[in-house]
Amino acid sequence: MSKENVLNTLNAALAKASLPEAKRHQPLAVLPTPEGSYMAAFQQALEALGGTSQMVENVVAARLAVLAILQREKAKQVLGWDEKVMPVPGLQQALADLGIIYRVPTITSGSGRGDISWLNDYPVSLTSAGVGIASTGTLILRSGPGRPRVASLVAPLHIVLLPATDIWPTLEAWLGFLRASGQVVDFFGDGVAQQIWISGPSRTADIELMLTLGVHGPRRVHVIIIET
Amino acid sequence: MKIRQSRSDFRQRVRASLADENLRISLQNLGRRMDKDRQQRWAETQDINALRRQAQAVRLDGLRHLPELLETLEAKVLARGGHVYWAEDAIAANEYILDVAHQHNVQRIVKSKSMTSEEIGLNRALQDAGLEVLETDLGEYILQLAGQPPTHIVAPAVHLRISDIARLFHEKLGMPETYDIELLTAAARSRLRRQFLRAEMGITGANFAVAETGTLAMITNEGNGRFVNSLPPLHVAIVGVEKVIRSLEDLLLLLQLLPRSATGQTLTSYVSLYNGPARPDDPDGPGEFHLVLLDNGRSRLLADGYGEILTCIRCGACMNACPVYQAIGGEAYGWVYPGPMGSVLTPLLQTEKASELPFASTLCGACRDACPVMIDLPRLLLRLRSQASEAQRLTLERLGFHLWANVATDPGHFHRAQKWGHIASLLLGLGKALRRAPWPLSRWTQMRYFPSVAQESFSHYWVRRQQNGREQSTGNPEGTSSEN
Ligand code: SF4
Repeated sequence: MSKENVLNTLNAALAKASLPEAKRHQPLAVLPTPEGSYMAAFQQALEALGGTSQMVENVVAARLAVLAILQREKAKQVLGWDEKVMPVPGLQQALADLGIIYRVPTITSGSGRGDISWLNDYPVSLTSAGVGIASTGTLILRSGPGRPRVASLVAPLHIVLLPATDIWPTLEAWLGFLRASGQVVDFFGDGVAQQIWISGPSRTADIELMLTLGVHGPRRVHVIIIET
Repeated sequence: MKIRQSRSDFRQRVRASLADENLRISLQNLGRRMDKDRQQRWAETQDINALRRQAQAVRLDGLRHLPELLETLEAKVLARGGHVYWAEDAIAANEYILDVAHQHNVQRIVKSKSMTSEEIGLNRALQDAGLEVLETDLGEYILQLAGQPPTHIVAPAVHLRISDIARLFHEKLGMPETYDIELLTAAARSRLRRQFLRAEMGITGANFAVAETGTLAMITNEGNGRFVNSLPPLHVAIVGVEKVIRSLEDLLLLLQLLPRSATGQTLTSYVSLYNGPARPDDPDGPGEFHLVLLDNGRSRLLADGYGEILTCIRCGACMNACPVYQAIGGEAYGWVYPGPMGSVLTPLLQTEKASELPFASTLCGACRDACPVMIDLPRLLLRLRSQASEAQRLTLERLGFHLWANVATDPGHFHRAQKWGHIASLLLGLGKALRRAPWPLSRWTQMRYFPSVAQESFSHYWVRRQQNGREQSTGNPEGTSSEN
C-alpha cells in the first residue's frame, strides 16, 4: 500500500530528523488594520492594483450603475450569477428590458458537454462577492448553486456587487469573525468546492518582468459597493 | 526528470552562462527589480521579522506533525468525494496520473505552473504516452515553445529577452515579429484560451495544503490556474508532502509572506482555494478530483538531518538575492530548483550527482537574510560540502593541507617555502597573478586567478621596516594613517 509505505517512511524519518527549535507564537502576528473607513481603504487598495470601484447608496442605485456600465460598454450579452444569490433584485428583468441577454452558465462535467467556446462571446460578466477585504482590495467569491466559477473568469470586464457591510479590514479579522460565529463551514465546509480571492485584474510579468494586465483572467475589475 | 549534471557539465554551463550577454542583462534586471521589490515591501511591513519567525515556526510545526496532518487532509478530501494517492517517488506519481488520464480517455491536458511536476518530469511521462500537455502560465508556455527548462521558480522565463520571445512567437506561432508586449501576450492568451475550452484534464500544483479543512491553496497572477481547475472535467493536483500546514490561520500567515517575498505584492491577483470535485448541484467545475501526495526523497532528506529545507515556501527570494545566481542564472544549476535553495535541494533529491552545487556559493548569507521562513541555507550548504569532501577522503587537496600543516608549523620550513614559492611563481607566470597554472593548480585557475607569491615575504619585510625605522627615526610607519 503506497499510503502505509509513505507514512512509515515519514514516521521513521521524523524519529531521526533534527529540526531547528522554533516556538509557535500565540497569537500570530497580524498586519495593522487600515485606518478610517473600510470602504475607502478597500477602494484605495483596489485602485492601487489597477481595479476600479464606485460607491452607491442602495440596491436601486446599484442596479442603475450596472445598467449604465453595460450601456457604456455597448454590451449585448452578459454572463453572470443567478439573481437569487446576488444582493440586487430585479437585475435580470432590467437587462431584458434593455435587450441585453443575461446568461447564468452551466457547464456539465461529464460527457456531452459539447463545444463551450460560446464562453468567449461575453464581453462582460457580473457577480457579487460574499466578502471584501480592505487592506488588500480583495474580493472573496465562492462556487456553489447559482454561482458558476467561469462567471468571474472568462470575460474581459468583471463587474462585482459588494455590500459595504461585508467589507472586513483584513483577512485575519474576517477569519476571526468566522471562527467566533461558527461560520467557517460557510466558506470552507462541504458545500464549497472552490473559492477564489480576487485582488485586482489578471496580471503577468513573465516577459522581461514588465507588467501586463489581463493575460488570462479579466483585464478590468469594477466593484460597485452598496452602502445599505 | 533526468538530471543534466556532472562536474565538467556544471563548469561548462557556468562558462556558457557567463559569456551570454543577453543573460547578463536579464539577470541584472532581475536583481534590480525582484530583489528590490521584496526589500521594499519588507521594509514597509511592520514587524517583518516577527512575521518571519512565526512563519518559520508554523512550517516547522507542520513538518513535525507531517503524518497526522497528511491523514487529516486525506480524510477531508475523501469526504468531499475526491481521490487521494500517496506517491513514494516520481515514477509512482507519473504512473498514477497517466492511469487516471487513460481511464478517462484523456487526449489533451492543460497545466498550470508546478515546480513539483517539473521535479518528477510529469510532462515527459505524459507526452511519451502520446498525450498532449500544454503549459498555460505565460512564462512556462514560452519555455515550452522554446523547448527550454524553467530557470527561476517564480519567473520561469526570466532569462529570455523580449527579442528572443518576439522571434520565438514569429517562428512558432507565425505572427509578425513584434516587441509589443501587449500583442505578444494577446497572442498567447487567445491560443491558450482555445485549449482551456477543449482540455479534458487539468493539472495544478498547490502552494499549501490546509489539513484542518482539506483545502489546497494556489496563488497565481495570470488566472491560468483558475482555468485549469475550473474548466476541464477532471482535475489532478500534485503536491509535495511537505506543503501541508495545520490551519487556516497558518495559511493566512504564510500568505502574508509568500507574495511579499516572491514578487513584492501584498497578495497575488488570485488565491484559489479548492477541496475536492465540484459538488453535485454546482453549475460548473471538475466532476472528478485527484490529489497526489508526493514524497520523492523528502523523507530521506528529513532523516538525513536536512529537514529544514522542507520548510521552503518556493518564493524565489534566495535566488533573487544571490550573487552567484545573478552571475550564472538558473540554467547553470542543471535542474528544476536553482539558486541557493536548489543547491541544497538538488543534491539531496537527486543524490550523488550534483555534489558540485553546494560549492557554487560564496556563503555570503544573502539568501538566509532574504528567506521569509529563515532557512539557514549557508549552514545546510556547508553541511553538504563537508559531506561531499568526507566522501572523497585522501584526495590531493587533503594531501596538500597535510603538507601545508607540516610547513606552517616549522619556522625553518616556512621560510624556505616562501622563498621557493616566489621563485616557482616567477617560473610559472611572471605576472602579478597566475591566470593559468599547471595541474593540479589548474583546477583553481580555471575559475579564478591564483595570486603570485610576493617577491619579499611579510616577515622579511617587517624585520627590514623595523631596522630602517630605527636608523631613520621616522615615527610613522607606512600603513597607519597620519590623518585625523
Ligand atoms: S529557501 Fe527561502 S528564500 Fe529560497 S525559495 Fe525557499 S522560502 Fe524562498
